[in-house]
Amino acid sequence: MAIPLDLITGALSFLFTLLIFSYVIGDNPLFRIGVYIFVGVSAGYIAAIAFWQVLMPRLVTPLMNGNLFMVVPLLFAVLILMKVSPNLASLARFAMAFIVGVGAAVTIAGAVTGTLIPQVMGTINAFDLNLAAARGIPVMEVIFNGVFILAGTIFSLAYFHFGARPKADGTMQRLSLIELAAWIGRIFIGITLGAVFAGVFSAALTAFIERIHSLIQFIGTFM
Amino acid sequence: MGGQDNAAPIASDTPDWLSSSGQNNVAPVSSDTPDWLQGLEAQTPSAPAAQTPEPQKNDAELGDVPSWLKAAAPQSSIYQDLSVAAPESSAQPSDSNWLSSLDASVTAKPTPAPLPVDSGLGEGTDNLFTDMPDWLSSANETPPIAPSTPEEASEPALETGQLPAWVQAMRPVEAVVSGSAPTTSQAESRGALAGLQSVLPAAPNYAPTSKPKPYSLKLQASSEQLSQAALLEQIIAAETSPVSIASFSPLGASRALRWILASVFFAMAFVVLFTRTQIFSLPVDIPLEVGSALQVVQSIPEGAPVLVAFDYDAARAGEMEAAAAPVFDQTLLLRHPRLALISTHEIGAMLGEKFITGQLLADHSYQREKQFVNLGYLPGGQMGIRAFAQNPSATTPFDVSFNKVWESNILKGVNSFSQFAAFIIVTDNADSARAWIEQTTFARGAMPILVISSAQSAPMIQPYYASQQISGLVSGLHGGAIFEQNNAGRPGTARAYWDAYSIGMLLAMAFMLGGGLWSFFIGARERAAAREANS
Repeated sequence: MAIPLDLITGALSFLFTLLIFSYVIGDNPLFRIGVYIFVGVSAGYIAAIAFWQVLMPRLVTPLMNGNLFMVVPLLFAVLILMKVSPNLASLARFAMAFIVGVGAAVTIAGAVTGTLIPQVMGTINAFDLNLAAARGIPVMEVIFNGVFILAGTIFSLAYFHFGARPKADGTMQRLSLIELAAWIGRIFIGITLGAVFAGVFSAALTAFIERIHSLIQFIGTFM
Repeated sequence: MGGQDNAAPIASDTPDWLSSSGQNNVAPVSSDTPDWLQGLEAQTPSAPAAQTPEPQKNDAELGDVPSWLKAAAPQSSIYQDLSVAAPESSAQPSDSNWLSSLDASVTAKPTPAPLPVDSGLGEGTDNLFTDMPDWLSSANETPPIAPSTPEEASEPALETGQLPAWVQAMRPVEAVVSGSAPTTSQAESRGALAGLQSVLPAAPNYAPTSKPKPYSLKLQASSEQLSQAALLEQIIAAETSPVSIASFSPLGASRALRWILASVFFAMAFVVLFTRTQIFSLPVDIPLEVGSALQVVQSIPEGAPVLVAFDYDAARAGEMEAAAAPVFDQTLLLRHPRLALISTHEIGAMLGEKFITGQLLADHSYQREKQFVNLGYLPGGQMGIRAFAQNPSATTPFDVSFNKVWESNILKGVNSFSQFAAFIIVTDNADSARAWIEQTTFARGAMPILVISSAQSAPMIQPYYASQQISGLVSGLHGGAIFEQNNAGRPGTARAYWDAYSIGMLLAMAFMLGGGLWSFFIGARERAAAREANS
């Protein structure tokens, strides 16, 4: 009698779900067993992925096909591997400098062209009535949304403006206008953090419900 | 008492070489003395003839004194001394040793002879030595009384503070301090020698030319520098002073509270999901971002290539699949796109393939290498994304099975990133969505981007929809439920979870509100008790 694969996977899923849920009663060996198995399996799987989906198709196979350009990443990989030895760790500096430099350049360029400028333009275009009409948004709603977004952006930025001047008694204080804007910005930031917390709780609750649902389905297969 | 008398004992005790020289008392002195010393003797201001014996006579008397000592000692002193001691020396002719004779002369003469008063060059020098400290000058004032009896002579001849003549003779010669020694006898008024008179100066002709420049010990600092220094001291003092760690009283019922909350949520979820209640209706209103997502799905051409990035962890798979299932169900059902799966997470591609071929979308029977390809893991983070956007086929030439996917029917005609009909990002991380949006800006052209996100990352992705960088956004179970409403209720996952989700959210709100009120009243009661205690 062959055991269905779905039954095995369902049983394993049921078992490990209970192991993790046992944390409700506190840290215990069952919870630790589940965590250790997850960590071990994840590490093994990632190592296999790194070999079969990175090294083999992107380095070994091209080298075997005579692509001598792949000698450069191979050399870099060997140099970075030298970091395991304290005496040879300095050999990895060139490769690390190359990676860090290229990574920083790509990240900064992407942030400027992909986030900074478009977000500023988006804040400005919040009052674009033509664009709102194209989206089917009423004019008053466009104006309200635009004012709200603009105010939230300015006041939130004002909250992070920490420039201050010394008073007669030696204490430092921001300008009154900046202080007021920062106080309003704190309200916007508080609302934003509240929304983020609600999102985190919503995501966790959905995951919890999905696990309970899977347990019920697994039990239902025997009923 | 001539030289002959003193020469006889010397000759008897001295060796032949010395006795032979001693037979001629006068001549050997001059002959033994080197020329330079003779010249020096000639220049040395000798004592006047009235006060000092004749040189030849004294030479004869000093026959016991070695010639080197004669040369070292000033003649005036030695001759003066010996002139006084001459009678005693003559009384002891048997003492042939020069040192014995010297000792005898010292013991026989307890008081030093008066210092000769020289004129001219030696006057200043003598004044220097005559101006002695009190203890020494008092000794000089003692009248030189010659012992009259042998008993007196046997008494200690050298008293405290008295210098024998030969010691005085060893004092610096006149040539060293000739003419430069100060003649003043004023006492030192400062320094370690304060109170002493006739102290030798530090150097000849030395005298302070000017008063030492006074230097202020007060720190030259401005008021601003002093204030900054005071501020620095405050900072250092604050760093070094111990800071009491604010202690928070642990929740006494935290363990019980955790058990209660867990029990309530477990019971609620089990009951609601097991009974499959449908108390709460699905949301009806369609937000703009979800409405735009619906338009994106409906605008995908039939059978067009669509790139899908699965960038979420396995822990979020339940939520992500619940949110993405209605979108993919409608897309696959209506447009039958050719899918290319990719991920910047190591396990994302596996989760994506599980989702496409899983139970939720089982009705569409999508299979790898037939309806979709799995490009697998894309390494390099943002650099990898940018490289893929620039040249997809060169960055990921193979799929997870080492097949050259860009020559297959699924990706036929796709040579660049912008040739995909749409790009769907399924992620639980706002940073991942931001990386895809940022690094593909230059390459995607007019290609629509649809983001399916977790509820926790939706607030950070929302601005990209407001700036029209993405075409639609479906976030969390709420977004999936809305999309499911517009997909004829398929696949029904959101509906199955919706009641438990709604009750769970209500319970959370109730617990938070009740806990906040409870904390407020507890705090108010404690403050009131504290006020009463203070009053």
